[in-house]
Amino acid sequence: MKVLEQSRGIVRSLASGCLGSIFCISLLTTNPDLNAKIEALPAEQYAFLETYCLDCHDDFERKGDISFESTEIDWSESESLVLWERAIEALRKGEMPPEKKRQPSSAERAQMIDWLDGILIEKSPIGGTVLRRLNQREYVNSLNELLDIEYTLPNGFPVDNQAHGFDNQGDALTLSGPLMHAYSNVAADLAEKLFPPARKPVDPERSVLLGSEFTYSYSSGLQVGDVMRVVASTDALAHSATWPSRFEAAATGLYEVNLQLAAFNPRPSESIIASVHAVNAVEAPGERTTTTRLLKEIEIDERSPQSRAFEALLEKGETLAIHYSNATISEDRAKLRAHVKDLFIREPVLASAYMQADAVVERGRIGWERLKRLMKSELLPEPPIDDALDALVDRVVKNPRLTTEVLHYKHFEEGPALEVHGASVFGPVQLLDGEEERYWNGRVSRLLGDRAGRSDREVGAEFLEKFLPLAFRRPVPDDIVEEYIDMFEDALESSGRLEEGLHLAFRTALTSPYFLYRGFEFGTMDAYDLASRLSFFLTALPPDEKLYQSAHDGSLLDSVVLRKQAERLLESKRSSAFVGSFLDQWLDLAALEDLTPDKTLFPRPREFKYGDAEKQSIIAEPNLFFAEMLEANRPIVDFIDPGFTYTNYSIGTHVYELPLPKKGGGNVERVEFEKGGRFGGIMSMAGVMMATANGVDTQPVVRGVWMLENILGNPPPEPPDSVPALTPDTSKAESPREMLAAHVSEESCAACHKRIDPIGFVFESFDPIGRWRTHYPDLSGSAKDRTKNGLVVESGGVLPDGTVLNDVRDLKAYLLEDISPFAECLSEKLLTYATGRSMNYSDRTLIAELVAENIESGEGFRDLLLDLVDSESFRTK
Amino acid sequence: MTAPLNRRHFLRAVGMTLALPVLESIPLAAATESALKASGKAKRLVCIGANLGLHAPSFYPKETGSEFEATPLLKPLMRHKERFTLISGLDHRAANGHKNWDNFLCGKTVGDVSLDQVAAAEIGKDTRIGSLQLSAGRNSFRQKMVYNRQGVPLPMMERPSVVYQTLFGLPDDVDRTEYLIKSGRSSLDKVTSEARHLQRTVSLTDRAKLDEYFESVRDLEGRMERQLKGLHEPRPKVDYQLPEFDPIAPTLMLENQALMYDLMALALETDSTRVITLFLPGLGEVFTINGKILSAGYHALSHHGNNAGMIADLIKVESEHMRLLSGFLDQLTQKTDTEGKPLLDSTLVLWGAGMGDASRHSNTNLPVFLAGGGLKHGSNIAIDRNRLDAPLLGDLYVTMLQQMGIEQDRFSNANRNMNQYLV
Repeated sequence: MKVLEQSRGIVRSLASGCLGSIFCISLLTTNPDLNAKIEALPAEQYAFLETYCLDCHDDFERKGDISFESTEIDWSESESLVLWERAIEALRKGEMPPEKKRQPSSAERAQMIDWLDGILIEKSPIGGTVLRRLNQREYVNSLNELLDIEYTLPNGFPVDNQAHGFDNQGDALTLSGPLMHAYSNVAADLAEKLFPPARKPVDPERSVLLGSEFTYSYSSGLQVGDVMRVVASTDALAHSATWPSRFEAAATGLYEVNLQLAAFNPRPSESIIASVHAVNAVEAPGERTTTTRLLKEIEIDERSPQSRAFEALLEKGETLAIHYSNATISEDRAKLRAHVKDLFIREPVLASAYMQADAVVERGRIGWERLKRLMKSELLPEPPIDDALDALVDRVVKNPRLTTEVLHYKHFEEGPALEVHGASVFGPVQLLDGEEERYWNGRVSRLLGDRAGRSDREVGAEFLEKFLPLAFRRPVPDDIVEEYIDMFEDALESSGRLEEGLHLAFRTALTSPYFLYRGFEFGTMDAYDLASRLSFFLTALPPDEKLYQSAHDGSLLDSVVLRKQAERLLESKRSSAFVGSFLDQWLDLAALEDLTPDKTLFPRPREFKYGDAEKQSIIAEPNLFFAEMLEANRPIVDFIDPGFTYTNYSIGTHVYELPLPKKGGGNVERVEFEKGGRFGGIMSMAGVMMATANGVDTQPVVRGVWMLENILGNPPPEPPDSVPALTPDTSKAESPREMLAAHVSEESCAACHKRIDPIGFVFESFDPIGRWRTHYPDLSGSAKDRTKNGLVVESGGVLPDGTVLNDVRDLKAYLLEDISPFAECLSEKLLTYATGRSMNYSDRTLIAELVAENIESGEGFRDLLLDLVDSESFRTK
Repeated sequence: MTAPLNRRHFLRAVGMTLALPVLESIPLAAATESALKASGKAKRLVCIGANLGLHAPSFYPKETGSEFEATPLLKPLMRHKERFTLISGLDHRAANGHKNWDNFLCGKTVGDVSLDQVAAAEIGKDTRIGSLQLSAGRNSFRQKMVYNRQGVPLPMMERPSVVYQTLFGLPDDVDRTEYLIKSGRSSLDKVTSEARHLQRTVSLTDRAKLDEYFESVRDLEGRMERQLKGLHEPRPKVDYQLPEFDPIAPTLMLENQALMYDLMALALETDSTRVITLFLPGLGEVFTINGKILSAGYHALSHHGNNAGMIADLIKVESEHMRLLSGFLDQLTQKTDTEGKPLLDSTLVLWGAGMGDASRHSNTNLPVFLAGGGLKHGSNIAIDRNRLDAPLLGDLYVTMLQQMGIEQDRFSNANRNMNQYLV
């Protein structure tokens, strides 16, 4: 394990020796608190400050809002650590004192740096994550893992707070009354599903339904006299089916169904097939035949109503949707085209009427009435034939929903139509388990194991003995297990049912602090806390059996085993949750889900559209890229200039300007290209360029700050309140650069903007979806087309150290020259996400050492990740 | 070819509220007492939002001011002429499109806390039900109307029987619910003892963190206590017969709406709640009105493209909305509060939409109808939205909130009021 070399005085190995020690009362009940102290600055260091710093940074001048005038430091204030860390950085980089001021000798500088380094390490001991509540993702994953289910939390489940850019940080994961209520409700909900109360009897009832008591949605049916007619085979029930408006199953069970159906003008020599589907009475308008249960298919030839009886299993709340499944009219475009063409050939006057109407009539009956009027008129054009007929058909079926809603009325009047004259339903004649009950019963059988030959008492007790350590992610002492068993036995005794007995004990375990929180130890973690940290880090799931086993036998504390377990998890499918959720938060990719770029940015006619395939490609790209970085253990520099990425044809061609062979489908595939170009690497990935813009325009300061924070690891302090973010209004002849020039002339702004702006401007070459551009859009032109060139993009700039950047290629070269700032930044993000706390000076020092070793020995990203896992920062709570 | 039931249907925790009442309770007597103490002239708020809005040319009279003639859509409402105000030209200055419909009560940004929830935090805190969210039948799958302070859209009840049950009935299975709450309390005792045990072994900072756990448990115990009390508290007795079957089928949405209005009037009369929202869905249903089946589905009609026949049928549906609204106002003028005054005098009724012209999906010039609540009514006010100082819909909301005694001088992007027109 990697331990910070200079660290001293840190309490370590408290927890060794006592497995599951949170359940023992620890003798050491106070956490040695090293920070609560006000200390005087040694005279020598204060003299340095007086000579070189206080001219500008005293209480009066307070340049950059910084003063070193006080002769003592209150180390209990977290700001002290921030302030003195900034001081040591400025000294190290030679940024302070400024060039024009008096400079310390290199010996003086080194001495001050040494002292600061020592005191900062001493004052920021590694560790200190507060007790971590499972966040929403970890909580629901834990439930699903424990019970082998696929549960989703109810809408409105309280959302977690974020800190340090992540949603799994100990200090931000608070617990509140409403959240506790939500936990308790979810536990009760699951208990009701897994251990349901005994079923109550339901008396069967008879419902007699007239044809006029059937309902329909849109133009799926039409009541003609007392009967309901349906004419279409569209799979969306809202557009094809009818169902009783006054019947829904009172309970899940068997029902005796009797339908009265007739065929109205069926096609010659073809029966009408009525398919009957079980459908939830409330959800019906949103359902499809393909996703609902088919109960029965009935053939009907007769003009007079025929009774057809059958038995059907209906779930509670379900009713019967009746559908004319072999009707030739359908919203399906190919079927509709054939149907319309056939109509036009058999009834040329209809084709003429459509021609007269320019292929479009009003939706619904009004449109059909108009066609009928047109068909009677004498001035109709000749019906089209051959190609002209096909062209007309194409136009008529251009909007399938509109056309079917018109032609349905033709068939309602003329047939072929399926008629529903009435129905009678009697039931439930027998109560049955529905799909849902069967699902949960299956889960319970697996959880409880074979019950044969065991008493309820044994089954329950054995379940709890097995379940509790899994739920709490560590062994549970006998007395606590005993309390749960007592709880079970009391309820078993009073109810006489195993389910009732387990209901309460199960619910209780799921609201226990042992389930909801993790990381109970302090100092170096014990093997169980370590297993949880590793598992939630790399899989967002509780430890699996193998990991738990290595915690149980203590071997996980060993470097080799810890690394092996980490590698095993990374190689398993379970690690996709890590890649996804870490990237979502590090790169702000979560924003992409709701972001739709302004379509007026794309030239017309629109070869490029931003649709679902494009969105999916843009979201998949960083995930697949990151996964390859890990899997292939690629060097860190490949994050910046890799020469490969993952993209689909549309994004690859229109955003990345890659010469891709046109392929069917929008598959995301790995593509290679030359290094050193404008595209490639995490910085200018379409997803990052989109997430750092707003879909419409770009802001150099936003992207500049984002890059400093997330790529260079050198975040600027919060801006002063009085300054609004720059919104480039390029419609005026004032360029973003001119508008930002104010920043650099204003001294208080300049300190940070000298760092922010040159990087921000480099990315002005990328539009809001990451396409390369040389000009801003011309906003003074048509509002429907923003593709005309406006102002020229000026991407050049100079970094504070004098490096000249012409465009993003220079920035990449600059980063490749010394990759450690990026590598340290990425490492810090990873460890923050893993440990649930922000990294401090000591952590950063440790990270710098690990990164240096990684680069020196030519290792890859996976090596670095394993080094981080095996570090003191990771192993310390 | 039996398709498996979509697992999502039941794995999503939809059935949860079946067992546990979500509503908490306070005694009726205390509620009535504090109603009298409330400071605003308006003590109740009803907001009705129609998914497809209104055909504005058939709604707004040409004349402004108090002398206006009945338009086709106003005909059923004219008997209440002195009790309402029509305002045109208001909106939230938000972008067009279906999604922005949802900002009707939120202001400029969808998901900001909605007007009714702002009101409920004040005037809804003393009733058995803080606020009631209804939809007259199946809501469209996208549209939301009510958002709480956390930006979470609140679910709407679609079945009159569920609304009735919530207001006036005891839970389906009182015994089971009582068992769940009571056993829930003993479960909390157990986990509290675990947390106490844990508290002795963790660091000082973590002890502070665990305090959150204890506080949350105490808070939950309070909630359970109130639930338990609410479970057995007698419900107001009302003389109202629901039909045997819930009109949730698409073609029965107007029947559903009629029942919802009846239940809303009863809810206000019994002081079960003081804040109600009602969403009027607009899906593809083809209505039968006065025995005649309309020519196309409601949604299709709303995309009339200025076809006279379609507009005629659209107005038939919208006239039904107005007729039912007028019936609701009848009930609020006949029913009285504890002081014997008509409920409408102290109830603000807003009828509107997040869409100004459904045919074009435009979200400007939203239809606004406001009645009751002790405001000055009887006019048709035309706002020229191109005027620089034109008020926003949020300015009207400020006036409404102030009328309810809620001292708030801004709402979303609006920071003025419309008092000069209405107070």
